[in-house]
Amino acid sequence: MIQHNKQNKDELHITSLESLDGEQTEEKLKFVVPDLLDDRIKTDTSSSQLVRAPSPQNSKGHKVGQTGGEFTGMCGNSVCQYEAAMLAFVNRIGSGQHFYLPFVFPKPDGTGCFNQAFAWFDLDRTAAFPRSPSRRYFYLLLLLQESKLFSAVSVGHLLRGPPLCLGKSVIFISPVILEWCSRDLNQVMEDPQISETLSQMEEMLQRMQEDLLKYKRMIDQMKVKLHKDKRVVHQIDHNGEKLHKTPLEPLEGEQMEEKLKCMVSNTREDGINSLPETVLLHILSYLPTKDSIRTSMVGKRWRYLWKAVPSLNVDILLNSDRNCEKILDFVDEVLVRRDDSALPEFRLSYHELGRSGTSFVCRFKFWIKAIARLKPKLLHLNLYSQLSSLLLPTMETLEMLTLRVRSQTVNLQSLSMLHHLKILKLERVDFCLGELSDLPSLEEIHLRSGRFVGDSVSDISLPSLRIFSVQYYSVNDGDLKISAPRLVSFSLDGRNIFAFDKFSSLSKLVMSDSSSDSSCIDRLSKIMAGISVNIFFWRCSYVMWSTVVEGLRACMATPFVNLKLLCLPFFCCNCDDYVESVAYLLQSCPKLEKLVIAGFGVRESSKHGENKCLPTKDPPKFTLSCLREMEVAYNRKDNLQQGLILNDGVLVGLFSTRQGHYLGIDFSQDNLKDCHRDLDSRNPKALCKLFLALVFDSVTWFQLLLPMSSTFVWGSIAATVTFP
Amino acid sequence: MSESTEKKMVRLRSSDGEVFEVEESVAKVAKTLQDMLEEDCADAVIPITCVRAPILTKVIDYCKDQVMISSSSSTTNNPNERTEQERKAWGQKFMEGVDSSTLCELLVASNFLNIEGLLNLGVDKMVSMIQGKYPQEIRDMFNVVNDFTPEEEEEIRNQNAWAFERDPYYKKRSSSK
Repeated sequence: MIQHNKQNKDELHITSLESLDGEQTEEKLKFVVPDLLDDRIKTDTSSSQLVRAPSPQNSKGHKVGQTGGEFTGMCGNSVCQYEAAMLAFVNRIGSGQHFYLPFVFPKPDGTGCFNQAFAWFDLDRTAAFPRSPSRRYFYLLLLLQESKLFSAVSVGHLLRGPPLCLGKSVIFISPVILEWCSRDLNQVMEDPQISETLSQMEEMLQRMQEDLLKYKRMIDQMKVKLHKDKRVVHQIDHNGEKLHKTPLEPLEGEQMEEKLKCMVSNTREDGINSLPETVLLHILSYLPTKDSIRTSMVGKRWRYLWKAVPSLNVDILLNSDRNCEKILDFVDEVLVRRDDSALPEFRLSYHELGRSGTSFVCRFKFWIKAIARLKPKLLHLNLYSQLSSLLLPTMETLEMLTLRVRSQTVNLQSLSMLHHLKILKLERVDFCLGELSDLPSLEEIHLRSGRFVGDSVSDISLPSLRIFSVQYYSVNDGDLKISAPRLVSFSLDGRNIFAFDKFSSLSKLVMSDSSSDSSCIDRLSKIMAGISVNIFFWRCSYVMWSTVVEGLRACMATPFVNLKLLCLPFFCCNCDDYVESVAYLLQSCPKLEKLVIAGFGVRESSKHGENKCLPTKDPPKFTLSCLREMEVAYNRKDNLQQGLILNDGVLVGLFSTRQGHYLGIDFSQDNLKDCHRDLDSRNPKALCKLFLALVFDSVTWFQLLLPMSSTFVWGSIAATVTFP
Repeated sequence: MSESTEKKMVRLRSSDGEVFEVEESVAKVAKTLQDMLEEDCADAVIPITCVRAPILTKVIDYCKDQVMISSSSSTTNNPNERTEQERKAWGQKFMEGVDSSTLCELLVASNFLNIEGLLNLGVDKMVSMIQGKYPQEIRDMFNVVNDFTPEEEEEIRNQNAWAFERDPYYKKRSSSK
């Protein structure tokens, strides 16, 4: 891979002989540098204060050799070598020469080099530097900043004088890039030389803009001419003979304009072209970027439309798509080309199948850095890669972050830098819970399958949090206290027990457990005792169920005084206890409007005799005066249909509804068949219908008790329905 | 419904001259009309110059439904409010059978009248129509004239060639449809 331009000795090539593994301490590198440079390298490393002092490990095995016209350097850890070479390079730029990329850059921590970065440049090595410098400058500067090798002054070399005058190409260096430099290099900007260069550039830009205007005017004139020509042709056609030639002078301004307008409006009158640009952009912003690029070929009006779309939405399937490299390059390009026009939305879905993608990991980190500068509002990342940790840069504008990881878990750092984050959705992501306390505007948190890492935190305040949902997240400390005064909805499973302060506004609670650790359940029942909710979804094991209900009973807690919607699990075992606890719960819900009893409860035993499932005592009777709607849903197919129906029946019979509007029993399709058979062609649907009919028949009081055996089901309904 | 006779009515005239009389609350779903009505500059018939009668009918249907939802949800607490799913299904049904040219007109109308919900419905439909399609298919669908020369087309294609290549599964998808 040695590339050395013999024809032009002034050109500097730095290239690597083989792809480098950044993790290796022994780096094998080869620089091919014109012979005139070696002295400078030495002097610069020794004398310049710009270069960071090499760490002890860097100093071993440092060997510099010179062969013929080429400079070859090999070193144990290449950092100093890079420093030297880069410095030489920068200095050379200072003297107004043309240079070729690529570079090999050291990593900021000094452990290796960005071989990936190198590889990128490598892709385009054939292209000369000046041809599209902005992209390279971008990387260059990004990398320079990244490596922190060069102090402001040495980058200043890059900006000062000649390097900006790489032929005419200088005009392509976007001011934004300069701005990026300046952001970190304020002192450089105070340099009079540089400000002079900048002002020269501005002049150049201005001149360009003037040129552009001139061209535009020319185009307009040409349009007019074109129209004129058409008119002439028109006349010829109609008269069938050649008229005297109309001179090609433009029509009177106003007249012409009107005609043009007419033409334009005629072509745009119908169909999709009648849509205003904002609507079209709106449409395109919902499309994957691939599709929005395709629209550029639909018609002239569409050609550049996609470039104005405020979102980037790419889906990369590595290996299955032979274009994936191009797509990756495209994303690079877009992120670089976007000047000050922000990119509010970035959606990336990346799946690598089989192939190792370390280069992606590095690239991806750069993307994140680049995006951070584009004032993103929404970041949606769906990754299946070897990414193992992610450090987020400061993104003041970011409002929504979704990070879904499919492969190994990712360690997310510096979440606290997203000061204005409102919605956070993480899946398979580890992070430090304490960082959340730096996000005051956080409104929604959805967490799934990950871990809280880092130091244990005792107090977290989330003043704006409204929705909090945690599933399968392991937490290491149990004494966590979260203060969320605005929390409205809270979902949790048994693994995460937080003590919530100030629960006043909580209206919806969803609880499920994945462990039956008794201490967790104990704490859970304590939480329950301290709250009052409107909506409560509960799915749990029987152990949890009985412990919590017992706990509530013991401390006479009233979490349900305002409850309107209750969703309870259904258990087949321990029927008496279950019925009793349900009755207790229901009695403590005076305002209940809707009750759902669903069969999602965890079965304690898969097989049990019929008798076990049947209550032996008479169920307690009480009235739920506000209940309007009830659903008993049992979606499990098993061979206990009889018991089930009876159990359902008992549940239904537990209470009576005043002001009843709706009473439904939802049998899944499978159960329906079985029920059908068990009930001797007595269709349970008919059963439901009967319920409904009764309820709707302006019944104000209604009691339903189903006896033990299915054969009685039909008759007993009729028998037990009483009218006041 | 006995109140409706007392309610203030608003008259709207479509581009082809047809006049529609709707309740004020219905008209106010359109933000543009709401602004006009609030400034009291809509005593006479409001001309809606860029919307034809059949499209305006559809727009009014939408507005009426919105009024119905909001009124029912304000009186009773929750039951009549649509869930996310129901809303989606309703939107799909509303846009069902809308052809491409009607869709475009609907979009223009909802953009002009500033009805966000309807605009989003239209945009969703449009997105589903365009997604995965190739330029020629889009042109065919919306009767767009190709005003590029073959050279220009080639140039565009070369700029981002990866986007124009056939998806590996494209044939399979189209044949399964």
